[in-house]
Amino acid sequence: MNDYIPEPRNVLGIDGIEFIEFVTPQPQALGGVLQLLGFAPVARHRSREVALYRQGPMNLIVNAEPSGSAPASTFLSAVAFRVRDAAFAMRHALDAGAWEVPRRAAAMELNIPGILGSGESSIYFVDRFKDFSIYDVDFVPLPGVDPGPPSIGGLHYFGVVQAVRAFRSAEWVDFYSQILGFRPLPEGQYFGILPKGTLLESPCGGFYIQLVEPPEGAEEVHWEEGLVRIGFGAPDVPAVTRELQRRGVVFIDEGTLHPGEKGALTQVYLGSVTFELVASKPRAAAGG
Amino acid sequence: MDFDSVALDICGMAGPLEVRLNAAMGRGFRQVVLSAADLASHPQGVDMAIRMVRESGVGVLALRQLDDFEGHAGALHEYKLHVAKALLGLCHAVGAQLLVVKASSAPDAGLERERIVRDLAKLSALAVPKGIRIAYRATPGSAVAADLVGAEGIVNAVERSNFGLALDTGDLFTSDGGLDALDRCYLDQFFLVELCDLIRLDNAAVGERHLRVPPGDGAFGDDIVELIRRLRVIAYGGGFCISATNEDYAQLPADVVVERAMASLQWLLALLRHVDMPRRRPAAAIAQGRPRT
Repeated sequence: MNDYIPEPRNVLGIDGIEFIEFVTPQPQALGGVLQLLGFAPVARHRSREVALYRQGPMNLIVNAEPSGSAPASTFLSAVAFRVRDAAFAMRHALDAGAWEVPRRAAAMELNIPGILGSGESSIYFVDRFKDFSIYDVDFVPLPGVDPGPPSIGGLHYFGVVQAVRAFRSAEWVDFYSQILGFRPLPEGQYFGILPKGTLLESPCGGFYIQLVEPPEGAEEVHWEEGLVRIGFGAPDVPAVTRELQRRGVVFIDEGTLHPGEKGALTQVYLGSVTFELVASKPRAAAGG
Repeated sequence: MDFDSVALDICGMAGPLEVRLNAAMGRGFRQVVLSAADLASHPQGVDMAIRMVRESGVGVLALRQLDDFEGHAGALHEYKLHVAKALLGLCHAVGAQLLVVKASSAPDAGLERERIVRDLAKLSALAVPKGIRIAYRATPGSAVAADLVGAEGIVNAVERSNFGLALDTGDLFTSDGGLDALDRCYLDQFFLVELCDLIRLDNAAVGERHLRVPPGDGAFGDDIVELIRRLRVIAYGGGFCISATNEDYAQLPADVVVERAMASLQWLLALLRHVDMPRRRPAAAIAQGRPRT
């Protein structure tokens, strides 16, 4: 792939999400929540306490064996973008001022290049997702399990929400623009039922990052930077909400937050994990 | 500008880091400016130095400093990048909000403006995940940014939210030619204002030079007050530090130097209670409020 010629508006050739990863000290409990949401465990790591969950186009890794010290709580630890050429993407990111994270040894044996994101999270670049999957090397399929479980109501990855410290949104807009080619949407353009912060669109148009600063008057609130929530796109949010409720997912329905046409927000699971539904149609041939 | 927004630069003071920190905090300063060498050269190691600063409860407004970073190619660029990353790591570890970067004065820097801007944009991107902002300071004699106007031109070209200017009043009153330089600036991306006054020394051997002293102790007290007044007008929200060490102070106990700095700060704050001071107050009026030495 050395002859890769980048597109000016999408220099890295980003084409959706290959996987999102949680690090957790409670893999069984998190797995239970994910199954309520329609994910199914499809493979386990050959030697580590890492599981691969899947639903339609979405891959989700549950990592109970991080490279550092044991995590105190469950948190979103990585987003892996599908790119045209991972080596090129990594070179571009480093030239633009990214920090390289140690090559991935905890969850994958494969050398997946990655850079430091917000908080303790990483951003990975994956270019093997068509004829050959990164999971073929490291993971053993679970016997008797459908390796491609369908998604509930067309669920797909829509975006992630990132907490940023007060007055830091502009800095993160610069970061994602300079390194990944994301573009901020015009002020006031939002999706879902939590219309606040700053919304950035991926250069492929298939993924969003929502930057949220602490609300005014919350100076005493402990507000760490990091990824805080996955947003799932759903073509028909009310229908998906009903189906997930039937499966046991609890959505917040009080105050100003109610499930509706635009979206829905789950309760907090495991003390730190929430999920959001956002009205969105899946992209053709996108990774999620 | 209020008491809490003013840090004390303890880099050039005499004594171990603990002594300087205790002197600053004992006199009421709640923020300091540190040098990376303060941490790296600590007898008990850098980790112990960082822990000591963290546990002291003092805020670290800025860490100084990265020199000659921009405008290089090849191995020198890679080397400078390595140094910059290490300094950003120290900033993050010690909780410093700003890294002071002095405009490159290396002979080969300044030849390619595009490279300079690209290098500094890269530095600003490196600083984002660490939560650090870059305060870029002009360097007299630099081919990149020799004065405030030149440095602001670079800051505007880099165009990053976490990349702004450090203004040193010592430079402003000497190499920049005084407050009039501010009239040629937009003043909208200032992160740090380093306050010092100057006493002129005429030396037959080395020519004219200036001694850095706390605001009010030199010839530019009224100009410093006017500078702060103007910054108030534009709602400057960055930090101030009193940065006035010199060769004499470097051989005195830190307590003595900190006491002078605190007297200077109280003098400034007393004057600044009058928000709408006229521009260029008569020197006599300024002198009435000065602390006695």
